[in-house]
Amino acid sequence: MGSIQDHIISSVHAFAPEGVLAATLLLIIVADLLPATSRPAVSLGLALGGLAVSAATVVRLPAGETLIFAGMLATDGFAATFKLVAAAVTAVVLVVSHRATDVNREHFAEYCAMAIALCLGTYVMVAAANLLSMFLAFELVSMSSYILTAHMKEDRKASEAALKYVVFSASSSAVMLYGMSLIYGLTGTLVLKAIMPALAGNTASLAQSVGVLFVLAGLTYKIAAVPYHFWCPDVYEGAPAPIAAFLSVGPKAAGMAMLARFLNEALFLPPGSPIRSGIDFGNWQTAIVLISAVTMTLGNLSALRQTNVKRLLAYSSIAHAGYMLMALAVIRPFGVTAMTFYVVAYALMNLGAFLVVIALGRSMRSEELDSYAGLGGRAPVVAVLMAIFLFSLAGIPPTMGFVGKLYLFWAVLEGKGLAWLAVVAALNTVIALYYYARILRQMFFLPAREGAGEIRVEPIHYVVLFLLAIPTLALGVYWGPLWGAISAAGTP
Amino acid sequence: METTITTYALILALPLVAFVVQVFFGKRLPRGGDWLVIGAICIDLLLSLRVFFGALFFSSFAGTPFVWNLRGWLGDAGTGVLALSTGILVDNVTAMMLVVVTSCSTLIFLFSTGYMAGHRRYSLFFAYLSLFAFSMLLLVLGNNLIALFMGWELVGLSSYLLIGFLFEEPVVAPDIVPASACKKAFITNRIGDTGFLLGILTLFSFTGKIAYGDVFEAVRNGAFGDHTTLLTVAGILLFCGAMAKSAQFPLHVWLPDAMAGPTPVSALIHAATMVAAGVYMVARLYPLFTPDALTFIAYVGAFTALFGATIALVMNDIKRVLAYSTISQLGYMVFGLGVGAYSAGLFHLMTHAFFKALLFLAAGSVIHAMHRAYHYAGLEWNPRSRENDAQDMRNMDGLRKAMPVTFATTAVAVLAISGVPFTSGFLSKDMILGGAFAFGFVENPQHFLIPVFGFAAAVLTAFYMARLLIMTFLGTNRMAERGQEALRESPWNMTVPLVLLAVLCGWFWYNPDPTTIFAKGWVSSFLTPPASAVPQTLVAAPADAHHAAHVAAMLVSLSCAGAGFFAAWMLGRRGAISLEHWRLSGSRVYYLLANKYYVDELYNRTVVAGMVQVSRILGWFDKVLVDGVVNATGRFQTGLSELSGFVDRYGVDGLVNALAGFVRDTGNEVRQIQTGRIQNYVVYATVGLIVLIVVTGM
Repeated sequence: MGSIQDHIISSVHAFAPEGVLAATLLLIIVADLLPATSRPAVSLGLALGGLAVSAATVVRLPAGETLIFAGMLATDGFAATFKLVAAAVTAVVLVVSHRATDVNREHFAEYCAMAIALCLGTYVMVAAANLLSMFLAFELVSMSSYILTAHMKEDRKASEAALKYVVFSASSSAVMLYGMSLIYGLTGTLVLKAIMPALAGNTASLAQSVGVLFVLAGLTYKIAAVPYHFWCPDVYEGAPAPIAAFLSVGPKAAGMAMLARFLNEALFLPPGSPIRSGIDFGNWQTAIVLISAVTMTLGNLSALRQTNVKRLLAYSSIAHAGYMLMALAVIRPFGVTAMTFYVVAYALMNLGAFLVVIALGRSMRSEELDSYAGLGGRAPVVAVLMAIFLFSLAGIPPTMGFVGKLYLFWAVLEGKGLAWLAVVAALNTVIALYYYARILRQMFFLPAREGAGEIRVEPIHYVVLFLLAIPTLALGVYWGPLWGAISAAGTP
Repeated sequence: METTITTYALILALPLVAFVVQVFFGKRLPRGGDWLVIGAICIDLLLSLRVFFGALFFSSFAGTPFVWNLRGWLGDAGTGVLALSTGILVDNVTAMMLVVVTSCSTLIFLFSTGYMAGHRRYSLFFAYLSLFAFSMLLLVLGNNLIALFMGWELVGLSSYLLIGFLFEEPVVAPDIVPASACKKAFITNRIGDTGFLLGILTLFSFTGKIAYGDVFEAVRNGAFGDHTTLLTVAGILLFCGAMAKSAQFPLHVWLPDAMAGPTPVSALIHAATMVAAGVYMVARLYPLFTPDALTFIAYVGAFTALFGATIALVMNDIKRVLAYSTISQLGYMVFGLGVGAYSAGLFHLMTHAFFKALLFLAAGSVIHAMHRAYHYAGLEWNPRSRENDAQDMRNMDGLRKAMPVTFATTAVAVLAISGVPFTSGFLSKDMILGGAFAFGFVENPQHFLIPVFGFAAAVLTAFYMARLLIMTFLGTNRMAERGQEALRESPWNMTVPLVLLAVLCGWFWYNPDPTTIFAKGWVSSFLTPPASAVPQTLVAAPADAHHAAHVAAMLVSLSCAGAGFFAAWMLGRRGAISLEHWRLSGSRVYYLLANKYYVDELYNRTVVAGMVQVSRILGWFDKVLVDGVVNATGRFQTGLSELSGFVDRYGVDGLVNALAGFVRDTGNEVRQIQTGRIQNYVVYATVGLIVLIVVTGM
């Protein structure tokens, strides 16, 4: 017993980032209960402080992989990278929410607490190395997401979206849990790294396939990929815009990380392993390739005719999940590194695009595409920033989106027999260009509608927009160090 | 005097920041933000002077240039895929170029505050000036071919913007339209750049390197192996870039038209900086040029020197005379480098930058005054005639009294460009001609034409410059009575730069001894030619005869200048030589010169007309074939999306309805809790999962 206690006690140290977040969460709730500190600014300050401390703890943790809590969580460089992304995304979303129209300021403490809980969930998701911890983290993120979606209780649209979200999510969780139970039944283990060796000796191939595919299906819900993507447009449209931005980046990034870890640790063995030759990798790789191709095509085709900017961005985020999956289909560390790099790019540009919607929401009171007409003349700075983010999303140089796509395509072309996937993706980027260009056309080439009011943007929104736009451009020109750091952080 | 990367980063960043701020907020800043741009360039000048004096007095870069590398600029060192790094290289040549660029820019920017005062896009003009300064500094500071090329292209872009700055004005001088002049400059430069890029790619494909030092090292170690002809070709291709930027025949055509820009732009582009870029490039890549390539360069330069000078003889537009004179002087620098007089070529670049900037600014001052006078007198300029043309020297005469400062400073510059002793021009020109003398008469008698061209151009230079001075400032003014009253000296912010530049035309900055640059001056020890990287078997004997030829060359060039001045005096005072007579006599030579050897016409009839033909054919191809394919694709896409809509409406919805029927039957109770759509979603997702399992299972 002594050794287990020792192990747990020694694990606590590596769990510090998560611990800090949990403490912050409680602190925000307590502070809100005290009349003296029950103010949005206090909640925001506490949340940002907590995020900063936890990010600092992540950075300060010793490098190298360690498994903590009996193999429940892995604290490696890969997880650390994603934790930093999650902390940054959460901080941006909270700062933006503070002055957003569709966030209830009376319940802002609650809002901050839930955002921190979501961030805590993503921390655990990216580190989970065991089916059980995977599921727990997954549910923590889901629960926080529902509550955030329903944050505007009086708003019928938001409530409807939250309800749809809960129901849909429940079904996908059920499928995933069922898949996990099948795997456990076949292998007798929940530890990811033990699954492959155990499966190797198993002959029940249908049960194997179904188990693994069910787990994959659950993960496609989190990253909003086919077939579990249906919730995404409705929820984004109904949810407060900052939450839509959050959901499109935070949980998606965590889901990608979790998927990468599941694929690499549980299914794909490192090259050179003796056991490799006897196993058919084809099934799962084919599944990922198919999901990727269908997801990007469906996302892009559906985005073509959208008239609501938030819905359009929702479909665009589905398509981006497809692009990122493409790199995971390649059973190589390079693919995972390319995916991680793209996640950073995606976080910058997608948050940026959503933030423009949020920043304009105050003056426009509409998220319809045609209300953006003539924006280039009415609010030139915002329009130019939006153009930068859209160019980056479309993958046009010199933006980070271009570099990220370059690495994704590169990874795919290095994988054997996947050239056709690269072709599909290339065709998709052309389709995507069309609907991004539709927004640009509205902004720069069409006259403003009659009676379009004056556009006023909060100063803090300007600051955050520039903070996102500058790296989007700068990393499109000089990305070497970032790529180097992400490569050095390693893969699961 | 150690320098750090901070200095150079600051030198690069300041004009860039000024440009960005100026473009976005220039209009809102007080005084249109000119102080911001001038402040940035002034700090740059101080930093450059610090670097330069460090190099001059403390030999900071003796033997070891300052190098700083930004690793992993393209690609990354980890995977080794196209791992290229960029960086900064500073040696004596760079230090000199920094000072030339920043000092000329500072004075020209200051001058512009007077010249451009009250223009509608005043702040944008300063933004462009700042962009130009940044590009030029990037070009000079880069340590590799790609950075050089990037600076090169940015210089091209900013010169395009500046030359076309007055784009709303239909005509600024007889048959010059700003909107087409800037296009001409851009396209002509693009032709040279194509050669330049091909040269860079040739070097890269053989050496795999882009940093200057690495390329030289690789070539020295035989990267070209037996393909020395290719090295010569690469050198000539690189020189093509210089031919366009430094306006060498036959790519000189853009420069005279480029004076469509405001006069400070002409000073900045024609005189001091942009045209020097080509010369700088030849000097920077000097170790790569084989003797054959250098001979080619020398011939092009010498021919251009004479060619430009002959045209300048008969021009009447003051800025045109200066434009052709610049072409001619650039020819001097280029053939100086070509004959091996490396330090002489670079030295002339520096002295020329100062006296030519002075001449252009003085011309600007004159034009400014003439404009004001015509305006005051209510006289309109008719672009079709020379009547009331503020730039035509035949309308000037006798401005000496009204504009004493401009006159005195112009006179200094005229003496300097003609190579009269006690001026900077004497020292540098003498050095080049000495080199040419040694090269053509002493060492390689078969190339005797090079010094002959050089000396002939010297005679003509003295002649046309003296003619300019006489026609503009001497005699009695021909301005109408009323205009006379308004003729007066330009304000201080225009005259101060003139005076400062005139001071820089003195010999004493460069050498205590006004008669010779050798032995005592800092120039020949400061700008020593780099060791050639060309395989040793090809290198010609070092040209150490330059010094010996010096006295002879000096005597010849002095008599050349004297002859030129005498002829101009005959023209002006005595009327013994009259260009007007020459014109009236219908001499073919006169018309050949006045029409600039019909080079423009030749290009229009052949290259331009050919391109128009080709583009017509391509246009047809585009309209009929490409558009056809595109339209067909478009129709196909529309059809596809209609099909998809159809499938969505009937297929998917039908399926949903069918499934919904199934669900309705099995759970009517559940249906009442759930909304219709979420139910559908779950069904879709489940069906999708089943399809996935089936497909992967197969």
